[in-house]
Amino acid sequence: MQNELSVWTLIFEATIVVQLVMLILLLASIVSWVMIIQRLLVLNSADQGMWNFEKRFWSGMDLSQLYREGSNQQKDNKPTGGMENIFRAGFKEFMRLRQQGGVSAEGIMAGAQRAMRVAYSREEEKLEKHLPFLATVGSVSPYIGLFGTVIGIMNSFIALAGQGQASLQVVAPAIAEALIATAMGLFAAIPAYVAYNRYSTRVDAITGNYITFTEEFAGILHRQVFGNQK
Amino acid sequence: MTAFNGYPFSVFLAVLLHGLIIGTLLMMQRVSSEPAELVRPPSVQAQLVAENPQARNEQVQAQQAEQRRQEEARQQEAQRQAEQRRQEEAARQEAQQQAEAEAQREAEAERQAQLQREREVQQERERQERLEQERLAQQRQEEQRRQEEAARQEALRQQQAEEAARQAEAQAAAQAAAQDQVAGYTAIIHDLVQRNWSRPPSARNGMTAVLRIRLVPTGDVIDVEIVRSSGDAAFDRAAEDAVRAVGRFRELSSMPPRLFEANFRSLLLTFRPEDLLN
Repeated sequence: MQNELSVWTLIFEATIVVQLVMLILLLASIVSWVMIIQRLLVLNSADQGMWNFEKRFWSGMDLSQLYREGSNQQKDNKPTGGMENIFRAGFKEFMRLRQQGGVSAEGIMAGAQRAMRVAYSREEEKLEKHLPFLATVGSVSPYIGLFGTVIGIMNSFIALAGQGQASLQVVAPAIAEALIATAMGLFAAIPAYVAYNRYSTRVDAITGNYITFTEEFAGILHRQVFGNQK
Repeated sequence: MTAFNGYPFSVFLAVLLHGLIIGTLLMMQRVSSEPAELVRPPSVQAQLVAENPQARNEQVQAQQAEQRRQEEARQQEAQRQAEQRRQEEAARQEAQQQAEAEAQREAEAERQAQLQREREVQQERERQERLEQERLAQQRQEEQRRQEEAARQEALRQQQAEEAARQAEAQAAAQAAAQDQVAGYTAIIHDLVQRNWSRPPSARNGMTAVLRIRLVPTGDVIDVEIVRSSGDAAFDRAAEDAVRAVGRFRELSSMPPRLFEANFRSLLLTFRPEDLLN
């Protein structure tokens, strides 16, 4: 009689190609989960850092003191948050240009804004790291699984041709084996896809906040520059 | 905040998650596979005849005891021989002393010489006696050896008899197993035919059709004939169709050829619509 079926026997008795596909999918699933968890931590900390900094910024604190606090924090090997980095880049450039002298107010503003743009794109890059990988896993792993299934079913039909007579006992295990590959592909794809959508929305929200802050800060600097000129 | 990457933590968590899922799958598989083993037909039976270790130990002990007893007897024999030898030695010395005394008193009567001659004769007789005894001892030893040989042969014969008994038992067990196997295969055949049997609407309780199926060792059905008709042509035809629909009993291809020849070359199947309500 036919020996009992189990997922494990199916996996271990599958053909090499199908096993390879399953291995790739398992690795993709593990790596994508690493990314999911790591991104979650990074985005959470970016969110929190942003709110904290905004609160401090709008508390009426002197801007140069805020800058000094950030410097001290960096000296203590504690990294500053994304929004603070933008602020620091803009403020540093602004102070440097002002101290240089002989630079027009427009020139100072343009320099500060350029520095902030650079810092902004760097922060955005940090936030969006690994998200393309999640998108790739989400969209490609079902296809990889499907490939494994097609190969498995092909093999089962080739074996069937040798058998001469098709009975359910011959066909069923091979098809079950082939379908495991699809199941694994979906298993890897679904969390990756959900996480990609969710995280890109969050990154959009955070970078939107960064842009708003950049504009606000530019406004403040603008006021300072042109106020002093009078 | 960006220097905080949390990679080790994420890797740990992701691997843990996958391990958990795989573990759960494994557990579920194990739980679901347990009843499947219970359903297996009892066609496979242990054919090993267990040796009784206690009986064997007892036998070995008895043999050892026997050997010990023989050893003791041999030792006693040796002691007895040593004693005799010592006595003979003493006798010889005494004779020598007497001979010396004789020589000293040679001048005395010839009667004494005669006596000595007689003594010498006696000595000769004793020597012969000794030889005789030695021969006897040798004979005894040979006898013993022969007895031991006989005992060993006896043991061998016993062992062979036991072996034969065990073989007979094993054969009986194998026969029983074969009967079980036959029952298992018959059940499979009945099951398969029943699954493929669609009863005609004209079937009534009490109808009985007996079919003879001829099989080849691959399990293929080569011939079906109706041995006893139920009286209803549709019913007979349905029964025949059921067998033909199965076409091949795949399970039979794995059975030992001897069993097949003995039981399944030609098979009678009885069709009875007992489970009908009308």
